Amino acid sequence: MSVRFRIRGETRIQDGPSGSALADLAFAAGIPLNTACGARGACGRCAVVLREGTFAIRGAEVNVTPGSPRRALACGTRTVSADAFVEIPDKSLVEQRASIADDFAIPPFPWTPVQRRTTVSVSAGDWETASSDVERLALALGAAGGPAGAAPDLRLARELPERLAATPRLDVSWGPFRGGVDVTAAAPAGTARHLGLAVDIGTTTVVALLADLDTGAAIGRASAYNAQMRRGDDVAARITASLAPGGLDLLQSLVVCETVNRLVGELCAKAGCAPEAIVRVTAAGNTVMAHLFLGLPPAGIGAMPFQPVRRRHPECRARDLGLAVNPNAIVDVLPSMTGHVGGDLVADACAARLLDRKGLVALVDIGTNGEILLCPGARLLCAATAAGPAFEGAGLRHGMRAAEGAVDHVRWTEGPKAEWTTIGGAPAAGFCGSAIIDFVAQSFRAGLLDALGRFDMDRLRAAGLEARADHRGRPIHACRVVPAEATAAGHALTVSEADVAEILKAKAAIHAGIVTLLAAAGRTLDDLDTLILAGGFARHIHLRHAAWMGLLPDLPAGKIEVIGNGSLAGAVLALGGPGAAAEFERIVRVAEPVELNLRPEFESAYIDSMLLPNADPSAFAAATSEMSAPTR
Amino acid sequence: MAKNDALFKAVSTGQRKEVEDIVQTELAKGANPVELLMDSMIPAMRDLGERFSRNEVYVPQMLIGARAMQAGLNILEPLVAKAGHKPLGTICIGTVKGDLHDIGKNLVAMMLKGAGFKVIDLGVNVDIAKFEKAVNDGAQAVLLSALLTTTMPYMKAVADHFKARAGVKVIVGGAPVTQGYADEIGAHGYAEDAGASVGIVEKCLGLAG
Repeated sequence: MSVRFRIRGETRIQDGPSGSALADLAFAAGIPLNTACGARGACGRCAVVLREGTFAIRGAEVNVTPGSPRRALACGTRTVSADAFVEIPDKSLVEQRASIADDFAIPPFPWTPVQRRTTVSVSAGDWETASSDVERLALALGAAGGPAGAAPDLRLARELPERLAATPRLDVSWGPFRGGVDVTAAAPAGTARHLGLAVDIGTTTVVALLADLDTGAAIGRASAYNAQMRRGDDVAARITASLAPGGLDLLQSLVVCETVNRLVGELCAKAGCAPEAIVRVTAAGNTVMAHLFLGLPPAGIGAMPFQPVRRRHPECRARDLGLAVNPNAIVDVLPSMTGHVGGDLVADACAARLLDRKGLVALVDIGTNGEILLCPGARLLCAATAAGPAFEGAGLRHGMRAAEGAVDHVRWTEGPKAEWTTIGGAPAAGFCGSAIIDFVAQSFRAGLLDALGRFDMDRLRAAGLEARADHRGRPIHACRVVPAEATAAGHALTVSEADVAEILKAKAAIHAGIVTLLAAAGRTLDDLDTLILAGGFARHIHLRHAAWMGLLPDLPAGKIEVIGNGSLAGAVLALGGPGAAAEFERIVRVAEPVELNLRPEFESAYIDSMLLPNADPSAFAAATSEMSAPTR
Repeated sequence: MAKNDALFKAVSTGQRKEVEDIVQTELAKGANPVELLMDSMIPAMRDLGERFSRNEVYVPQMLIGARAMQAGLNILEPLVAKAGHKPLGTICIGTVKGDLHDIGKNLVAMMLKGAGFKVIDLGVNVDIAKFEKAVNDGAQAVLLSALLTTTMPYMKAVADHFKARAGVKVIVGGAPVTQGYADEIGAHGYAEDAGASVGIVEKCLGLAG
């Protein structure tokens, strides 16, 4: 039995047993179908057009003939017997060619590789001295200035005679492993490169950086969507997916084999080096991502009391995980603070040197889960706030991720008339989070949106921007931002009041989280000296617009620092930052979880933060005065 | 007493302070607390819920409206209870075990109070024993909320628990919950959003129409 898929004008044929879900067949054919809810039939984003064949749609058999195509969800539709023909619309695909933030800004540091390499001459040995290959290697390493008593594991020991038979001069790579020193690789001197891989394992995107371990030079960076996306787009969905039979193995394989290994292949091909040259891998991700990368069941994180299996991850070997690098490579996954605040935030905190800052400092990582750290004195309070995926464009009528064609910035000019830019200069395909922030902030300033997020339809009508959007079968108010002729799909891009409400919920979760964490420390927004923004999203947003809409505290520019992808920065520090491991441990030790939903202030702060900029505008004086200034 | 337009408007637009001031002033002038509630505040909340269901107002406005309603209720509730006013019915509501999210649940609770129900709010992380106690205390419907796909399965445990109990209705809601899931676990009702919750409860308790 086979299914012909038509996608972007081409045809792909996938064989599979009768009764296969169309979504699974599409994945097998390499089609990046959007199953954001984890193929539960809840999100409706994997809609396809059945053109021909017999299908079982939610169990009911349907015969489709070419003259009468039928729409159905790919996750809820199974093949029956004969061959079938299915068309997959572009909008049911995960956007490709993501523009992923792989850059970060951290102060320069002396490269201090955790994994070192020493060239040794191993003696041949003599019968009068009781010794062995491994012992003579260790002696040679000590004599060449390396550590004393370092030993290879069984696998490398098995290969040692062959190496020594070829040449006694070896480049020995050694580094810390579970409290001891491990000889990780031994290659004939001068023949192999000595590389490390730093990985940021995001729920949505994965970024890898290939570094020369000896010099710290970044050889290449590559990024891709986390292939786990097809099992749901947030951590709760992944946890649920891990509970299915074989689910955990599948998720582990999706992130390791289908995501990280592909990035390794891409990086090595570009750099002209062998994957075996990678002898140390460091990875930072949220607690659920770290668990799935290591194959640990994350179920405990999903419900009260939110217990992970582990917070600290002793080093393991690449071969234990199936990573396509040197099988002996040591894999070091950054520790987590709590089930909800993971190694990515430990990385952010380390990259930002959070514990050594003066004054009251908050660090915010805006993503599907907003994580917030607050450092009052020697304490480190941490919290997660459920912002939802609106800033990633999900759940909005014309929202999309920051990929090519995404409108990334919007500006109102006289008229009012919208001006916009798109990523890659491509025809507009949808709005990504940074554009939504521009839109809401400036529309509020211009009086097109009121404090409750309602449009002034009279003004929109007068400006020719009035639009209607369908929301659960009812027409609702919307504003036309990009006219049909400037778009990829040939229909106008609009923002509806329902979209604005989603954005208000998301920004309220972040802002109320900050206010509540401050309250938990007995402080207020006025006490905040520095706000550090981590994560790729914050690197691309207009910070004043974020203050105008009440997403971020209204702080002067000098008090806000944007560090970019701190998670990747932390993984790089784990490869070569002086004292990074001790710093991670220090952060994990002082972390105190704050459960926002159990704080009495949270609900009221959340409701206040629902309004533009806030029901209590006293904390937004600068923003309010900027907004009342005449537009240039 | 007829509708107090200022009070109705203050609830609708979420003017918390205004609601408190009007209620206090009216009470000082000798107004009947039951009438203030029944003729102005409850209609305002009902109106807000209906407009929400018609997509004429959205969550932000609902939340500030509910908060203003609560401010007024804090003053009126003890007086209304003393007056022996009879509620439409009694329901209990809680976020299920394992889940701590309560803003959506609180909004639904307020909508139901605003519609004239007696609401036993069990809070978050609620287990079957607590729902059972509330039913024994007179709750005719058990409303379950969950925000996480990971905590949603507990809804089935609660639904199973009350399955054999004639007269106890189980109604579910929350962001990841769908009508399909509600049907699957044998819940009597599913509320897509806070606006829909009043109608569903009324229907399940045979009060509709």
